[in-house]
Amino acid sequence: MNCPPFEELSAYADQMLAPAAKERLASHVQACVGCQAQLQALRDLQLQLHALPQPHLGFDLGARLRDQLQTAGERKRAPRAPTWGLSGWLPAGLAAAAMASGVWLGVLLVGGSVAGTTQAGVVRVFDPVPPGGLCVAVELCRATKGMP
Amino acid sequence: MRSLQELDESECIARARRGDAAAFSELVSRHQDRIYRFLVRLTRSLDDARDLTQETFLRAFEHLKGWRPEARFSTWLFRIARNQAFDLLRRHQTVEFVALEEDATVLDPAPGPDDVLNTAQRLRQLDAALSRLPVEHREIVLLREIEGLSYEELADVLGLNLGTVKSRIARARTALLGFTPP
Repeated sequence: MNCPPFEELSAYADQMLAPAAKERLASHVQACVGCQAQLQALRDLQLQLHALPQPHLGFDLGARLRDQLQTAGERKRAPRAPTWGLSGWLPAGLAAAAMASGVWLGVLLVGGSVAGTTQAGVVRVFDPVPPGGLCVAVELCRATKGMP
Repeated sequence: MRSLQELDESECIARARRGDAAAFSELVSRHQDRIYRFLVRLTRSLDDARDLTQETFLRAFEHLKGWRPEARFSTWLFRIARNQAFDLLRRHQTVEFVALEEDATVLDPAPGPDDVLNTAQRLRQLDAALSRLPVEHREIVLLREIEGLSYEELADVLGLNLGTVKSRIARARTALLGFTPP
């Protein structure tokens, strides 16, 4: 058997090869100094990684999180709030009021019935178009026609 | 009635799934150091690792219903921790996601002398070598060599197939042996 790829040796060191492959590789390693050295390098690396200083958190995170978890746990267990209660209707009511006031303001700006009356009043006093002149805005002419 | 410390992990999990915060905080106490040390070495920042450890457990509690007994609880925690860390590293742009050539032939590292110089200097060199690894190599080395996850568990945590786990761990080791002086 030729020397196996390093990937196989690496899996062999982890004892992650299938039994047949493991047996084949084991008998090769016994007779191959190069593969023995590579396996030893892998084992040394593993030992050194284990010998690295291991940082610790230094406090009991579980105890520190307990209150936060308690609140989250209660939220999980709590029944869903009834949608017919005041808290359910209040945001919807506010939203509807806001929408209605927005529509009303919009009507004022674009010249709905309220705006139309005001504008007609202004036109009646300051209309630069003389009687019999060309009408530049149909709505204004119609408004002046009906005036006393 | 038994104290929480006396309960085995599955009992703690069952209670925590019913919303028992005390049972979950017991699980936190049992696993916090493993998660923290993994995150310290992955992010290279004590502050980030501390915040991420807390986030990991809060998220785990939130999604505890999604945990399946087929996976070990610690493996599931590692998956959450790892995903949180990658999100952070992406946001900080401290990680480059290079395409790893999983199928490329792994070069044999030059076998060094057979002596292990287990000194502080040697460990510092190894730590520095770890920090120079691409993050995908670093995480697999940490999870395999230090946390002792099996290849199946690595595949689960990292979302890889077994073949890729096998080749990636070999490549990471090759890189690490190449970085560290004999």
